[in-house]
Amino acid sequence: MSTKQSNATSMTQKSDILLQLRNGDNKKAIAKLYEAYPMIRQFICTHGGNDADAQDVFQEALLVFYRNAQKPTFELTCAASTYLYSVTRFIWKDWLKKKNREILIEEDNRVIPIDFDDSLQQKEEALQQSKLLSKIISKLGQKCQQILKSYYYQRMSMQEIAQKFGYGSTNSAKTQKYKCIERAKKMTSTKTILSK
Amino acid sequence: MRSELRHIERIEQFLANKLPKKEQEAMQKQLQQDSQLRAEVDFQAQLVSQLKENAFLEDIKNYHNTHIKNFPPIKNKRHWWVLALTLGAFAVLILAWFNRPPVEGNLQQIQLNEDEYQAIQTEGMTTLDPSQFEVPFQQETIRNERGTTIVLNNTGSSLHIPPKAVLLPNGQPVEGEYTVRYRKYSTAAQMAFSGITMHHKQERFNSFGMLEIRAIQNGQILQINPQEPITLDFELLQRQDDLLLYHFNEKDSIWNSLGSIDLPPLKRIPTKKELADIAYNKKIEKILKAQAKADSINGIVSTPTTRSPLDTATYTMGGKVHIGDIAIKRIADKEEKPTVDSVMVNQVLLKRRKIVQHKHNPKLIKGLQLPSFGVYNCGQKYTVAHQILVEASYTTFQKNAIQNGHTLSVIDLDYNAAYSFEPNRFLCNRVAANVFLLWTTDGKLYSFYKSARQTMGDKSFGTFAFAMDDLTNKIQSTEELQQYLDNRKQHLVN
Repeated sequence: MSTKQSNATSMTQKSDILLQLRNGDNKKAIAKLYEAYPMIRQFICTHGGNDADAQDVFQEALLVFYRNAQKPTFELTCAASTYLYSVTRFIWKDWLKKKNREILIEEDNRVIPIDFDDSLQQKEEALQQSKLLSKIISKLGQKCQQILKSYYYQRMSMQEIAQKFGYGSTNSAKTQKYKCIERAKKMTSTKTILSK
Repeated sequence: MRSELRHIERIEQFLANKLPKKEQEAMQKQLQQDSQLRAEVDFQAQLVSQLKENAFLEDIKNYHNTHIKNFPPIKNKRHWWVLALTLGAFAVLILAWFNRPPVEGNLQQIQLNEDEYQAIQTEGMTTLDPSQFEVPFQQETIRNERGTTIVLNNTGSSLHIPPKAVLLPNGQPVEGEYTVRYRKYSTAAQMAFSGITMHHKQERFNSFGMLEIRAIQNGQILQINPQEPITLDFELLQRQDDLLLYHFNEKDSIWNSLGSIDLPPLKRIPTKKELADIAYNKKIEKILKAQAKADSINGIVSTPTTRSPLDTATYTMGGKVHIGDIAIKRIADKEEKPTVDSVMVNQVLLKRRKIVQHKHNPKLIKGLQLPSFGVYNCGQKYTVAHQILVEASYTTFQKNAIQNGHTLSVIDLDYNAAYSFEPNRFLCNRVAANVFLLWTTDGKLYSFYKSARQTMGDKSFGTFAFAMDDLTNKIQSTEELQQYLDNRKQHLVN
């Protein structure tokens, strides 16, 4: 039997995924979270959707999970797959509502209550803001994007970043990182971006 | 650092709650009064969130494209006739349920048969050593200047190693003797303890033979010289069409396909009856020749051997009955015979399961070129049908929870392989006959046998508690484990 596999219990698996997502060990967490995909795909494909819908909805659910995982107060009270399944059902119902389609989605006792407290208007605003920020990020240039990604997403230390990108010192790398953020700030008018 | 950059740094530290406590509080107050600062802090927080989410989405898409994209399509089951069939099947199931044997388990808590439960009342204290389940290496010493052919133990396989076939890790030629180590994984039990994944992305392997080959010299792992390729004649466990050869990439833990395997054409030697016919014909020819010779001496014109078989069966010469006519008739009656050399096998015979003796080993694939040392697998990929994602917990027969599961090996008895999972969640075919082997951190081995009759529901997800059979005292080797699996297979056939 493979010795690589951990002997973690269910509870530690739950917190493992959160820890992995918080510590930048994202690929491992994604592989683990994707174990729920066959079940979710089955659900979407048997409730009026297709493979492409399943992919989109599942990715949206993963994003919800990721956002919540970044909150230090967020805790998983069930298996990650159950959480994703519950989120997916919610998102899929929402999609169907938007498309004015009536599909019977039967009750399922596996589903846990998920708080989606954003109003529709807030959602729309958040979407616009997200598009705008993505546009700015894409204009930052490859190196800036990579540095910021390494620091914030992959949780690399400034020393590792300095080594990776060939800076003479940690301070030079840090300065470069802040310059990138400054560039992003300058790229947009305060009125557009900073409005809440 | 410029003051603008220091300002950004301060905001970053504030967002990460890394400012000294007093400064953090001061900043908090400042934020309530200064809308410009508030907007800047919000922007920086949103920018970082967006950066992370974009990167996360990119990773998700990459994962999806690599591992998920080629999932087989799910058929839409919402046709009326499917509904009708389902209802019909449901009715049959209800009938079957009421007539079920009393020993079957229920949906959520699957139990073993009562007799098996009774058979083992005590749990052993022994623990197993995983190394005793590893297939041992065989080894040969070879002189690099000479090369050799190694006939692999207990198989029809052989490894042809030409002179100068191996190189040192730095690419320099090896001088003198080196050691080739090899082992063959043939059974699911051996594969379960091989440490080699039998998953191939979202698919699984059905193996028809797996071979591990290594070469070492003075502790250094050697590589194959691409100029002097090593070839392998590999004997499959069973002759099978559409096989591919895979090599295990140990760095990334994935299997790489090296292409399809061309099976040798089937050739057989004649059956006993055909051999008897051939011998008989030779004998007759000899008699006829002798007859012709005698006739020419006596001045009688002999009858051509091609005369009609309907001619009289006897004729006399000097008052004696000759068997020549009978022989001629028999020869003419028969269709073309196989030669002693070789005959292409008659597919009809094969289908009728007539035993034929092959001239060459039909399971032997010759001349497989090995690009590198490592693990090779002749196999087929397949996608698990009737998939169910199982969230599992385990107990002993005495209902004590087993919480120290290390690895679970799922063995689908229809395939020759074992698939490893973390114990608490795994995928399997919910209608197949499966054996679940649970290895615990304290070195115990448990098993659960799910027959094809035992249902795991009709959904793609389920939570189950498995009452496990403790095999720790009963099984001490892969051979014994395979015997255990074979017994289950036998149970399946019966």
